[in-house]
Amino acid sequence: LTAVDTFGWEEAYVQYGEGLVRFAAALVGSDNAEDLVASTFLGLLRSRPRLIEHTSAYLYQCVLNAAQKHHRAEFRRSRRELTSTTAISYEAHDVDSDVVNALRSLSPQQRAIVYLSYWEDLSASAVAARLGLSSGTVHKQLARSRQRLREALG
Amino acid sequence: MSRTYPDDELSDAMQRRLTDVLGTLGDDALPLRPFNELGVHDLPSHFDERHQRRLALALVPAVAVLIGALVAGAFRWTSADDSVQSDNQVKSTSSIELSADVTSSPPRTAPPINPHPAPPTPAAGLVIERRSMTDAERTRLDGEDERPLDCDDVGEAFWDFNPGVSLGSAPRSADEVLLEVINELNRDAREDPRTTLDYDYIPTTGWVELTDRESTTFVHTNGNWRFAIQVSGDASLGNWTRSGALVCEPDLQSSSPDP
Repeated sequence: LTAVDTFGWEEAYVQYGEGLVRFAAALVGSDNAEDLVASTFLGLLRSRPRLIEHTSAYLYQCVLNAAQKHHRAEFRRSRRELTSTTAISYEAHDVDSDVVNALRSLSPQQRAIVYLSYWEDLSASAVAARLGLSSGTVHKQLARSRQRLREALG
Repeated sequence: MSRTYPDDELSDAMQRRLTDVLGTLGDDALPLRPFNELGVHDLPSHFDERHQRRLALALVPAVAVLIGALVAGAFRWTSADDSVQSDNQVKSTSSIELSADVTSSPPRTAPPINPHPAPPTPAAGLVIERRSMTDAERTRLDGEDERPLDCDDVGEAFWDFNPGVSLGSAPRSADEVLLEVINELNRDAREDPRTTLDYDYIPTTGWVELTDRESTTFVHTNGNWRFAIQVSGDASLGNWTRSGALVCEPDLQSSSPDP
């Protein structure tokens, strides 16, 4: 455990920030990624949690949860405005639109699992540890995500 | 890399397309702003206050040790001989003042400092009882998902966040009670950036829109009020369309334990 009052948030920001932005880009798209990470850190600085365990995993979980909040807010807004059911806006220039659409159809948690599995090449148990999930959930969500990706890209 | 579902793996071509997109999304993201541009200086004043309070609490043991050392020193200086006192004019002056106090009243020991003070009791009002789930409930609520419900699930979190929500004693409507609970929950949720919870109060119906997580129903009663947390949705949808509600109503089946 790390006592947060002696914990260097600035160091954590420097050390993990870039990776978190990449992670966030997979969750909410390029446009919103940096904002998401910055607001996550600002939230941490405001709340100053007393103790944290495994800094990296803690930060990834914070970003994932922020992405889920972002997702919900977008969903509510789109539902209110009846404009679009698309909850995530990816900056899709020169990007394989089929893959982007397939990613859109996944939940933030599934995107996070896919990102960590395929981009960071983590094993299911490592993904579970990073996101604070059980291995069973990771296996199941990964299988569902692959199925969806196969359907969309096949 | 070991995968549990090797037969389920995406083809190489699909993996390549996927990683290309994931890489591009990351590349296209704006670079991280410098730490000092996060707006840390704009944090609300309670940020500093809390920090100062924690610092003050951390200093209490040190101050106690210092006081103890001074008192012990006073006894020692009082018994020292005159030559020492004359050599240490400042100290001897202090010792006179201190020893005068000591001789005029029996020595008192400082009250022990409890490093683990008892948590504050909940404010006057009603403490909501939390009902633990049985294994059968867990199985049913988990559905096909293997993941057991944990403290981050809606119902668990609801009570773990603040089991001692003060509901006051004045007669109030279910809507008012519910609103207070929601305010408490949101206040706590803001304290923990990890939480996925946020609550929207819909006063016209008395229902609260919850968010994601697995299908579950919790019922809590405290003698006066009955709270039912119902969260439902289809996990296989793969998105957050799971939703639920928290409903509060007078508990007519239990007699009020409090006058």
